[in-house]
Amino acid sequence: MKFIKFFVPTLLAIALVFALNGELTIGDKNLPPVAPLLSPFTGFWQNAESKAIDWKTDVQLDGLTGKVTVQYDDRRVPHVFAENDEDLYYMQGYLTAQDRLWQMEFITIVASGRVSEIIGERTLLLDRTQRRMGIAYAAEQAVAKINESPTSKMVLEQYAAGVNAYINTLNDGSLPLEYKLLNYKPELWSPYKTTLLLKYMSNSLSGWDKDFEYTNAYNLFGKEVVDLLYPDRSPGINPIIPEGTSYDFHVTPIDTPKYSVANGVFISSEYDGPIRENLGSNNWAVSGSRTNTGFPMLASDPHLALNLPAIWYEMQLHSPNVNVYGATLPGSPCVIIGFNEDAAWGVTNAGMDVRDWFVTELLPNDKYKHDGVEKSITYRYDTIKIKDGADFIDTIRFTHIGPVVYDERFTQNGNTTPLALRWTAHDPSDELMTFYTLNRAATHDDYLKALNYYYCPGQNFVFANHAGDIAMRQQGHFPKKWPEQGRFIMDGTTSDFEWQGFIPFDQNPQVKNPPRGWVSSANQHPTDSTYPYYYCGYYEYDRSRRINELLGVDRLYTVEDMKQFQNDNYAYFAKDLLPFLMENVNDLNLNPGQKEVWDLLKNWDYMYTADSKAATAFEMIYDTLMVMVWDELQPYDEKGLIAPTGYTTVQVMKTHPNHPLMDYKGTPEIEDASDLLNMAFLAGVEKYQDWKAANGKEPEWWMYKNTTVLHMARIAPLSRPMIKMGGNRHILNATDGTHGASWRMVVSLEDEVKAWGVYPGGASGNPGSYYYDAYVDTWAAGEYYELVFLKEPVQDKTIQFTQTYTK
Amino acid sequence: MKFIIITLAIAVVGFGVQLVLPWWSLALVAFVIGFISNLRFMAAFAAGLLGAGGVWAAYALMLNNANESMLANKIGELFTLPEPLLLVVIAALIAGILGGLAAAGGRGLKQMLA
Repeated sequence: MKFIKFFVPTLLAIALVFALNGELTIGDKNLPPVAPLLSPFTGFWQNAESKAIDWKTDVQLDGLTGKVTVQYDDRRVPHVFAENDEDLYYMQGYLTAQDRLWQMEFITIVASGRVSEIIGERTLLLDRTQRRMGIAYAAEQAVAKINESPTSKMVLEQYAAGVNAYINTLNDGSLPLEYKLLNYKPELWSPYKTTLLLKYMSNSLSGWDKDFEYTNAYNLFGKEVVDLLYPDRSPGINPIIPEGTSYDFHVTPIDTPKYSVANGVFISSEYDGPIRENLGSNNWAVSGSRTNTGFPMLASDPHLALNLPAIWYEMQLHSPNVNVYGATLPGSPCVIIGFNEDAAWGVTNAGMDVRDWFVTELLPNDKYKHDGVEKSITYRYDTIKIKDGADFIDTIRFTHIGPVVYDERFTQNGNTTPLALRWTAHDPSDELMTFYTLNRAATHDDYLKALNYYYCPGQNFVFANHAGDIAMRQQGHFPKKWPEQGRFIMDGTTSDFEWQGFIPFDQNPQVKNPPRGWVSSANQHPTDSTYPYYYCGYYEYDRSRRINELLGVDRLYTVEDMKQFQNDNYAYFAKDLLPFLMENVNDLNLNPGQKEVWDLLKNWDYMYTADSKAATAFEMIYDTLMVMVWDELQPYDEKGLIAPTGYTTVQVMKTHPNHPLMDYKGTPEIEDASDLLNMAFLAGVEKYQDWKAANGKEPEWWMYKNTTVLHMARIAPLSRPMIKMGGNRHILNATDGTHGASWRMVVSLEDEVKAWGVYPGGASGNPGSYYYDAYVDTWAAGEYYELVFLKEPVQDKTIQFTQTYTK
Repeated sequence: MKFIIITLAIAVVGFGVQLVLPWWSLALVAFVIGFISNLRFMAAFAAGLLGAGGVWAAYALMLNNANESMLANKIGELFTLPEPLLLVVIAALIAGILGGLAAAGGRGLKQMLA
């Protein structure tokens, strides 16, 4: 019987090891391997950092050629001092990976359509969409282009080498937490991965259009309704380039074919909800003649999805050739938004439509028909690996236009019409050179030179320098279009409907030192209607009015003003709608609950402050109103339609109160705009009182809005929900539940440049670090940090830790 | 006394070995020490339980204290535990049971060969 005492415990031990070393499935939940995760030697405990930095002061790295000093300031922002640019970008890669490896790799995995490798079958549609949109293809094109430039190639390769030097230091314990939770390992970095990241950004900022929805609306309701609901230009445009700026350049004529719109119902696989009005970046620069310092001031607050780890990583990069500070994108070298000793720059999204769809006529034998000729299709075979499943092989056709995203293999709710995508993100370009050059820019000419490398996604680049220039240019590779080209899905069997070249860069909308003494952009139309080229896109009307009103006062502006404007909560949108609503609410026999809301709204100053109850009530009414006004378009996902913007909705209600679309089908009566406003008011009040009853407190705006900085893999305990702050879409402080200012920066270009900044995150991407979300509360309060911009390494209280890296 | 020495040996050697090898190396350590010890079978199990469980608990607590329990709070929430320190308890139980079984198995092998 003696063997029992050996076999029983030994076999049990072995069984225990196997059970706890692999993934467990409990119900519908997948647990990561439990024992490796709970072991204090390899598990999450190893990611539990102490607040004090206890790293090595001297580090040896084979890839360096000289000595690099890295100083971490009191917010743990790294300041890198290298002896040459090769070492500088190597260290940028190394330090970024040290803080942000998981997020930068995860984004490239999303971009290249490989999430299913980690998650499994349920992300296959996401992966197929990314691949069929040609994101990886675009990244390959970019690598080829970058390899033609010795500078870009050096920068990207050094950065990749630095990232890899860090990856090679990792062991089971030091692996970032998310790899442990999701149970996979990082791969080595490469320049291709950086281009994947940049194309991911291109996709978020320019990879969408309304062509499908407009086509469906055209086929359902006709042109007149489309023009009413989705106008290219509405009254009230306050353009980026000041009105009256003359465009005295020669424009070659563009051939206009006869009007035609594709037939059918087209439903995009990217469908992500009925309204997408949550983007909201601002930037501006004020001339020195209008500031209290006598030097220009520049402000930039790009708005993006709020994520942890934060999308931005602050850094100072110093070598004999450059001294720049600002927000970097983990995964990409250089500073993207920032300043140097002479100049500052920032960006907002241009929103111009650079993506068009063409119905393609596929023929048997790997051909397609174009201009009456049979042309050859190029095939791309994509193998998608699936965790716990068989590989999925997708075949993607390419015509001369681009990838045939939709066809019989990837239908739109059963519609097999082959649609080829023309998108400027697919064209070879080297945007990295823009940032490399801006990082070193001093003069307006340097700025223009930098911008000329820039193709996609179109951005409004604001610029100001110590020498006193301020400037704005909408930069991107923008197709020349005949009026309304690309609003709808077009005929791809003839070249008549294709793009006929691009707007020359020096004819892009731009202005330098305008007489009014400031430049600004807030995702609105770039120009007034005198601009000689046709364009369409997604444009905002409210923030531009507000910022230009705030900057248009005859007085001297201060840094404090700039900060206040970025946090301004005034809603032009509410000012347009609320008085109109109140004059239409005709039932004066309000009950106490209705009277309470009525009084709140009557006394409201249109400020979306965190504690405003009027803002909550107004939003509840507005949400109801949008459902009632556009009920004929719903359900949006089934019909492939989109709600008009809030701005257009208010205009249509005012100008067409008796339009047949105003009727609410939920009642037997025929309603007009005034009826809808009444009904929405009463329904909104009910919602308001219900919320109060359900929650037992007053619905302050921040509670109802629930601004959440969401972990990138949507892991709730690693996120920051319920942040107390004001703002909303269409407001300078464009913070709604999921989107907001991803980086707020104010730069004063005095003799010694001064700058302030903050972002909703922290230097570290590690959820076990104090610095993971250390800046969130400061950001939410609308406060800033004065940025530590050094000329050389220093020893003082602003620096909490110094490291020396050598070969 | 002998029991305490064996328990400490499993903890100390286990600590050193796990700095380089995967978590289950703890079982090998307990098995070998259980084999060379001449504790009684149940005592070997107890030494493994306390030595292996103790080293995980102590090291986890040390790291957790330096971090002021910040990450344990998040991971505890992720696994819907009512109290984050249960993570230490669960970790210690995993290591302890494994260490105990391995040490007993080692001891059992010696007894079988004897």
